[in-house]
Amino acid sequence: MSQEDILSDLLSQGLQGDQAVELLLQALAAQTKATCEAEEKIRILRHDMRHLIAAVDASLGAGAWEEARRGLSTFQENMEKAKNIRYCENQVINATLVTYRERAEKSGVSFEVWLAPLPGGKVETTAFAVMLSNALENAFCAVESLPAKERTVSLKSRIFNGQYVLELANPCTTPVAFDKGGLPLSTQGEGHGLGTRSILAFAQENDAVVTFHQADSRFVMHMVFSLDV
Amino acid sequence: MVTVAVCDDNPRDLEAIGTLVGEWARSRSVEIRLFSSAYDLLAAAAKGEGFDLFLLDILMPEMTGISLGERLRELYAEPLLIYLTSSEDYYPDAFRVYAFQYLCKPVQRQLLFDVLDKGLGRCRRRSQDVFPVKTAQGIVQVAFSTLVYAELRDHVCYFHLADGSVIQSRYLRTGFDEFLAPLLQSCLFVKPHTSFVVNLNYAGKLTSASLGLTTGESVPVARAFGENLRSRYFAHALGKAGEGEL
Repeated sequence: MSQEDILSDLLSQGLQGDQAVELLLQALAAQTKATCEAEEKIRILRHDMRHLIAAVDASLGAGAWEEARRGLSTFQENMEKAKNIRYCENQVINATLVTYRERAEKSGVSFEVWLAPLPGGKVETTAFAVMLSNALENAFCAVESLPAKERTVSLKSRIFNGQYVLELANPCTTPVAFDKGGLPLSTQGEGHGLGTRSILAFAQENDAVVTFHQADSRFVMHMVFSLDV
Repeated sequence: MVTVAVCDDNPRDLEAIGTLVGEWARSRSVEIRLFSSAYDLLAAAAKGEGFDLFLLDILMPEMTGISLGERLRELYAEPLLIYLTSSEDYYPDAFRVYAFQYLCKPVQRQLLFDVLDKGLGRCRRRSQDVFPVKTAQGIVQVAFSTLVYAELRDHVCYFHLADGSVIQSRYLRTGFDEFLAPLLQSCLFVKPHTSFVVNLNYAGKLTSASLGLTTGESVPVARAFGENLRSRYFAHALGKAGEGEL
């Protein structure tokens, strides 16, 4: 799916005004930037490789083992830097995760992602990405003010017996108030935050079960929806 | 008897791993089958050969070990997949197919034996988990793995099995929970309702009022049991209930 297709998809859903759309557009830009940067690094790496191999070869010939080891280690480091992490095939979902990975790097959050690919068909992937970005926004806001070692956000999903099961968790020691329906009450004022409302809208649209709970100093969002068409 | 399938396209590696696994297997009554092709292993699995543990290479010419793992997951409910490969690059893919372990070649003998022992322990626990049911025809052993759900009606417990059959207990003189205590102590089973116990391995679509099952049936979810059911469902579906997986 091209970026033009994704944009037209987004616009056709009438989501222009939504904050999440802006976020997704930023995410696409971030993904493009990351890809370009990685490609540039690989180009340089390829260029440097001949010289590096010749240098390592010369070091080995001269018995300068330490020098050779350093050369190999430089090469290894450059390879690592040129890596472009790809979480999933879907561009919008991947771009959303790349945006939060970048935010995590900037704000010192450990961001763990184990995401099962979302099969096409039943669930609209763009809507899923919007839901995900809202949930991640809530989690990141919650951890960014915590002490450095507690700043972790963990996203995990799995396809289990035809169901897409997702868990988003972050440390949370401050007691969270829940309403009678089990929804977390926004600390910003009455009612629920916009992010949570958007998550609930996705859940309603896709006949998903979503739960929020706090236990063992963790705040956890769980969601499950069927992939059967 | 537990059977381990080893698949590696490199004859030298296959022989080396086969020798090592053979040494491990001798004192543990474990059978080994060696395959140099993913297709040969799939053909044997499709014919109904009962493998319990799979030790797979990843970089193979005709099919990667990851794709092979995906196919095996279609043939077996919970195959225990151990990857043994020279590349670290497939770790995320192994996670995606719920591999039991990921080991890099050359593997240390003791590390391989430890992992195989853990896998074997898991296989044996699975096969030992049975629930004896007193029926009008005598005692029937119901394997946990084949029990989809149990239902209480008029002081009689009905065990619904994966093959569609139903085993009917004799009239219960104890409470439902007490009667099914061995099941309820297992992390596989949960009560969605006062009269139902469900095997989470067969859990499908979850709604606030019911739990669909992979057999096409569904069981009711009572409000008082909903929170515990959801919590157990998510833990199980996301793999927390198990141990040893990646």
